[in-house]
Amino acid sequence: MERFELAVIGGGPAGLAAALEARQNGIERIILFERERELGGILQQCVHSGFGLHLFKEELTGPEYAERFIESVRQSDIVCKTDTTVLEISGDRTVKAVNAADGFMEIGADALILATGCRERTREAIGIPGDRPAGIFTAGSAQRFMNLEGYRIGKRAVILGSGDVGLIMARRLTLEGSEVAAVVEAMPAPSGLNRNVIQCLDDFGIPLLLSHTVISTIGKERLEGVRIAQVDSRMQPIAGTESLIPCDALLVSVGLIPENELALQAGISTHEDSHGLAVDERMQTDAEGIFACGNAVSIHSLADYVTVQGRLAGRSAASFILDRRGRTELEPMYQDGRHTAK
Amino acid sequence: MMNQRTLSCIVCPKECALEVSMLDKVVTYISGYSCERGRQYAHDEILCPSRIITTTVSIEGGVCKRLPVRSSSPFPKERINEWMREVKELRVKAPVQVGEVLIAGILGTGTDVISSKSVAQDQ
Ligand SMILES: Cc1cc2nc3c(=O)[nH]c(=O)nc-3n(C[C@H](O)[C@H](O)[C@H](O)COP(=O)(O)OP(=O)(O)OC[C@H]3O[C@@H](n4cnc5c(N)ncnc54)[C@H](O)[C@@H]3O)c2cc1C
Ligand code: SF4
Repeated sequence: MERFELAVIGGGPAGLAAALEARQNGIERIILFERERELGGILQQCVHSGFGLHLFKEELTGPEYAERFIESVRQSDIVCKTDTTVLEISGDRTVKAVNAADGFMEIGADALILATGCRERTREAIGIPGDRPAGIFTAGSAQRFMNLEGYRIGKRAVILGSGDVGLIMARRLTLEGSEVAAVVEAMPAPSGLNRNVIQCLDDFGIPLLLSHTVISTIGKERLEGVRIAQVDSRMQPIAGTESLIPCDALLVSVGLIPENELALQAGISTHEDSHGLAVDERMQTDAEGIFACGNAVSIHSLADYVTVQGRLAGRSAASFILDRRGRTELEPMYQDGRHTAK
Repeated sequence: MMNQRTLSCIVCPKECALEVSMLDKVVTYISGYSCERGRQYAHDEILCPSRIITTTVSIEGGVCKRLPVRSSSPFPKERINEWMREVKELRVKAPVQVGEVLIAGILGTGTDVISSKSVAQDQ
């Protein structure tokens, strides 16, 4: 089994920052796993601007922001395994992964950093009744289809949920020539940033229907419309307020959940309510030597903060590794099984 | 004529509430900003609202199918549709560097259309 000092799982802004920071803090053998072909994580599909205002004092797009870190990683000796999915991690810090070129691999590391990001809540998660016709997407997967694959999503869309991803997609669809009939939000106030309401909806005259929700979808093969209704303060549809909006696409933007399948399998604790990994102030999970950062810990609305947190995790992992190395060198007979030297 | 407008600054997520006073079409006083960028935004938003526009275009021979592109600086909002039409015509061949100018001075303005990403040639 090949050994590394540090293995980082996930090549988004969190993982990139963590790996670079550990490298700068004297860690030499680092491996980074990313299941996509390119590094950068979700930033690659966020082609809009609004990244880097804190760290670089410039307004960058997602890919530009990512590239600054990807370049530094490329110029370093950090081993990057892209197109590689991590299948399993264990508490003793071994990582099982697979890709087309190397096949199955198992590596051991002195410390791990989990930076696996988040996934989207789906329509199923909020339970809208209706058939399952084509044309219903989560906002993030629609963003991916449009921005990375170049597909058109639909001619007339309704967006459910006013999270930032939904707002940004409303503008994106409009610019690409689709009509956005409405953004429908069950709460009395938009959940995304005000700046996104202004520059994504107001700029284009897209209606925002607050205290409204989608109660059912219509269409068998392809979506033909959605039925919406006003909701009361307990989120229950109010009788007599129903109306029909014809549309061939519904984008669901109802929130993100940290992605922690790997950690859960390994028995690492998460917060019950947020699903984020439970970490201490140095970003260490309850498994010794396993650190975490970014959206896997909690949902961040700014990539800059993710980078800052990634750096903290990288620094903490580096001092954990150096500290342990110091101890094993000083005390070759160190008895704790977890601390045996390579 | 004196009048006043309230804006929400969209330059950064702090979202300061800006008050702009005008006499006829001249900005006389701006308050509520926390930094110089906010003051500049309020000024521009009244006189010529502009945005950084971003989209994607197709790219040939690269490791990815779409190339994200942007306006090099804020571009007048009323002309966004013209901008989109012009940019849609772009045909880009890999390799391309981040920041590379793809259309210089689009539509006779001082802003360029630049690549948001470096894309290597597919081997
Ligand atoms: C639509 C949208 C718009 C946003 N807009 C802005 C904005 O305008 N400004 C801003 O500052 N922030 C914005 N953000 C927030 C910011 O982009 C995110 O907070 C940030 O990208 C999270 O970084 P991360 O590294 O934690 O996760 P991610 O970027 O999601 O990276 C996680 C990576 O881990 C990989 N991975 C997961 N599991 C495995 C596995 N088992 N094996 C191998 N690899 C794995 C994934 O493929 C992914 O690449 C936006 C987010 C979204 C979704
Ligand atoms: S005024 Fe400055 S600090 Fe306030 S929102 Fe605008 S850019 Fe941000």
